[in-house]
Amino acid sequence: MATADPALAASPPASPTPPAWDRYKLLTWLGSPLALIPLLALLAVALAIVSSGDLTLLLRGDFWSLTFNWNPLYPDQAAWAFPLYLLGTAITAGLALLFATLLSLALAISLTAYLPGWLGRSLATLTNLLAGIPSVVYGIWGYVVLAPYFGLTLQPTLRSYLAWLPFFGGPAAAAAPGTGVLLAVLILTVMIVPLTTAIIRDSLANVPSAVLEASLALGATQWETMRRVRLRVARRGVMGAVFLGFGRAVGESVAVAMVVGGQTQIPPSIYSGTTTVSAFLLYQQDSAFQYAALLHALVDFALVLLLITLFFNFLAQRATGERGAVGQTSAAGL
Amino acid sequence: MSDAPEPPPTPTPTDPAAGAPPSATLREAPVPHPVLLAVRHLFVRAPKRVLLDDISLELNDREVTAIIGPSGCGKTTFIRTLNRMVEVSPGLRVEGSVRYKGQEIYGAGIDPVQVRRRIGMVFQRPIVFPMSIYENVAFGLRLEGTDEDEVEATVERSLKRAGLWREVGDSLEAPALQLSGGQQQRLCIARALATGPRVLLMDEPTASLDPVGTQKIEDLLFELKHEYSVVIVTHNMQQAARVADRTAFFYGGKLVEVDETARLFETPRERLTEQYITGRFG
Repeated sequence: MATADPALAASPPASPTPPAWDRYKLLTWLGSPLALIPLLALLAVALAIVSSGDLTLLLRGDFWSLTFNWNPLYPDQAAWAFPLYLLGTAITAGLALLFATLLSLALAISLTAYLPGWLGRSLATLTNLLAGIPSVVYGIWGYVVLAPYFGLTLQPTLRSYLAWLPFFGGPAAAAAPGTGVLLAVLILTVMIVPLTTAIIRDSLANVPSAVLEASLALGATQWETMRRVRLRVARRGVMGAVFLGFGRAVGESVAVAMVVGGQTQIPPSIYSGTTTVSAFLLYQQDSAFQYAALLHALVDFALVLLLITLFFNFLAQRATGERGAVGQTSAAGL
Repeated sequence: MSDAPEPPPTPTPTDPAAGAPPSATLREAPVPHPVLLAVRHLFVRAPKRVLLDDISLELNDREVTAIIGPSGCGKTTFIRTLNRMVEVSPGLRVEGSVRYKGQEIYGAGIDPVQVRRRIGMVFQRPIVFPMSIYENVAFGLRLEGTDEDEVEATVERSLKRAGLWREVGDSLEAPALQLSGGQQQRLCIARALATGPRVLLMDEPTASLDPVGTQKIEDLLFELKHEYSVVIVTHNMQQAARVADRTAFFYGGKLVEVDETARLFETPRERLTEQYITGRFG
């Protein structure tokens, strides 16, 4: 502000007429409506979904059926098998989240406490770079590079050693060799790890060093301090990372659609294909405008997806936004 | 680090009960206390400057020693060398000798973790962990895997010693963060006492407390010195005069003077000490 107005920068506090005040006021008047944009955007999306969908479909049995049946010639016999897609989403996103959380915990702990500063910083930058890769690139990588390897080498190996485990011995019911739950989980994991690692690392780094010293001074080792104090103080950040990561995994469409196989089934093994809600939307969008019934179903799918991701983002906000343990400690004088 | 056997209590020649001959002149010298911590030619170097410059100082058992001096004089660095907390700050190099009961704490094979259990520390601001009052005090014991009955007894004993039991004895499961600042600081003292140290290092323990909280900590010091050696860093010369048996004045990383508190404040030997305690700088 001051650089834009040399007179203002030069004027001593002796001039009590504040021309800047009016400008701030103008800015406030202009700016306040802008703050409503996110809310309006959300309302617009919700409204569009509600108006172009058919909400009564959500209450009908054909939406929740366990078989998929869609023939444009007989639209009144349609069945949408929504629970199967929801299950596919839960399985892929849930497993990916599990692996991503473990991996990012390990990464974030070593980045903040164990690796020397320069190495920690470069690894952190590298992890953040992963977050910038477009998801379709992950999809291509998965479909072109990983899927053949999975189908020809990894899956037979896993099956020959781990067939005694549930879901490790079943058939590879997938359209293309290698695609399916296992590959989708791997791709999703790689995609969420940068996000969850960054959040967990930040919350660990934000634990005041005084708290760590208090623990060390009681004779705790570095690891005991990490486990008993640092992670505990940062636990809201970890929870926030988990919820945000889940929201991201549930919503991811392109990369998952390319590697998840596309079958409408309860996957009998980790090698078999399935479909997630967001992948289904992508698969069917071509014909969406040709048939009203299909359009209604897709829009209702999208609505449920929106609600799920909003819910998890809300949980993430709750976890990280509230004044947690660190905040209270700082209220006590940190 | 193994605990050396306690030196036997030194017989006090001035004790009338010991039947000192009435003809003998009463010795004015104070009762000698065994030296618990002996610091010899201690240097702490940062990459570009010397933080502590050739400090030699003995800290007696069952005494309160105050460390005074202006900001940046090395008071805090000094007490952090006494339990090897100085090593937590990167880039500092320690030279010289610190002996605890005759044993070199910087010696080869000495685990800093063991040193810190014997030589406890309380910080400037009360740092309680986000857990219950009970778990805060039990923190150090849990690290050692102490069994639950003993943990319970130690928690109670430590809270009593820290003068907090009457206030929190019936709400041990409450979150420690709900306590007032003064209570939190006494909780930190209880937590430090629970690991069974002989020395308690306190880095301006009342700096963030109100007068009532300060008073309670100072009262506590009189109790604690019956069992512990206490080293307290303080900005506040009145506080040093009130609580300390001996006082050491640091300036610019050097130990200028150390003496019995009354003597240091009434008849300082060094001009610098006199200028500081009369408020001419600092």
